[in-house]
Amino acid sequence: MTIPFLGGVTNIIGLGFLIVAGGLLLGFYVLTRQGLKPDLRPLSGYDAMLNQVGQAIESGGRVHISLGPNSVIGEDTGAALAGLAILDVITDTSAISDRSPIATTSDSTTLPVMRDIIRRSYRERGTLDRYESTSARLISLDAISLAAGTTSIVADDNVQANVLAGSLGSESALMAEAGQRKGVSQVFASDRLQAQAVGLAMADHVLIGEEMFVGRAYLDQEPAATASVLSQDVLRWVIIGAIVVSFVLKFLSL
Amino acid sequence: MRNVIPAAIAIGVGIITLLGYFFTGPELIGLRLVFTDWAVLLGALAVLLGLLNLMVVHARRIDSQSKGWLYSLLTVAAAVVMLVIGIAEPILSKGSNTLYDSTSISNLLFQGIIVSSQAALASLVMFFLIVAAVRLLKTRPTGWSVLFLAVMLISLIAWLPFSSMGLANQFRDWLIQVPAAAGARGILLGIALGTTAIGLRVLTGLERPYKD
Repeated sequence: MTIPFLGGVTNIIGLGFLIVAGGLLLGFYVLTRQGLKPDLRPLSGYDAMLNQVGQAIESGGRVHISLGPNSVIGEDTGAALAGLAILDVITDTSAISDRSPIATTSDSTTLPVMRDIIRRSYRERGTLDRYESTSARLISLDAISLAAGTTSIVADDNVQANVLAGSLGSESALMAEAGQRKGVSQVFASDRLQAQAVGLAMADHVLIGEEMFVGRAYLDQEPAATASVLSQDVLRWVIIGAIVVSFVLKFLSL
Repeated sequence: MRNVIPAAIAIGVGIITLLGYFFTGPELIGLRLVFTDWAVLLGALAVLLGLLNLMVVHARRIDSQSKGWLYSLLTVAAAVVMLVIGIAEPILSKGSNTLYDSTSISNLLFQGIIVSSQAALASLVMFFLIVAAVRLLKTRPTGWSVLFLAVMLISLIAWLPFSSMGLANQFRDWLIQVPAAAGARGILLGIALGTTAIGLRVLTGLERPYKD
């Protein structure tokens, strides 16, 4: 089936899905603005993240957050935005510290956005004089070199909390190993399957798959982010329902 | 107004680009391609900014002689040498494009140093993982840790090229094709939903990473 100007069935389904998702997001946004406060299931990674940042600030140490190889103009932009949201909240919290957090990436398009987010947090807190212009760093242009480069940051720059949030692959084991060796607490979030094992084995707290995308809702309780979590939940149940129905239909040979 | 204009531009460009994927109108597709080209161009310019950032970070480390400053010196020197070679080589070879020539000095240096050192680093990952899994059993001896280590060992052992490994091979294949694939698809589905949700938040202006 094709509709003029809209292409085939896949396009129709895709557009329909986006319209439904957008409608749900806006609907839940209105409800959360009106006071709806849903009970989000606890995620230890986010509970620990702010505690670790607080402890790092109190001990005069730095927070390191790596967004991995994510680009803001590529296919992994979603994960990049999720990582940037986490960076935003962490920087807001740590902008009272004398020492800027260090944010690392291996993508040059993400770098200016990271820099902007960190600078803005300091400006909004009125502590722009404490902002270090080198707090956002491009370590290299590929993921393995980024992993190798961050090991020296974790080891040498008085890092007390290590947050890894991006499309990290198995090379993130190098980053996590550096944190383990130094004994700093670590939160690991990745949307890559091969990195889940690394996170499980090496980090104190792991955020698996979609959990990485709900950072702002858990850390900041922002209405838009909370609405986003609710719409994700509804869509997930719709997809589960569709899978079950299609399974039953196939089982009954209909 | 300072915040509204960037948001309006970002939302407008985002929506046009998105619609360009669904609708087949040539104007929309043309606009989408123009915006994508601009993004690629800006991405290329961002590499220069990134290089500048790299140099400034390491120059400050050298200046303050902080821990590991000698490595920073090496990094800056390597970057300058590669940059000089990258610029000089095409000029000396009378304008031919040496970037993709496998026998060019820049490519030889890249293959000889970067690729081989990356391969060495990548090969360490497996050892780190095994050590971490064993350490996990000591620090957090839960059922999940035992399961993780057991599955990892079975998967690794079943790769050994012995004929007596038939049963282990079958079990490994089942592990990969049934529970691992099912779990992976569940995670991927969640990631797709998360990506959609965060994309929609940006498109509707509810999430603005570009506020400044």
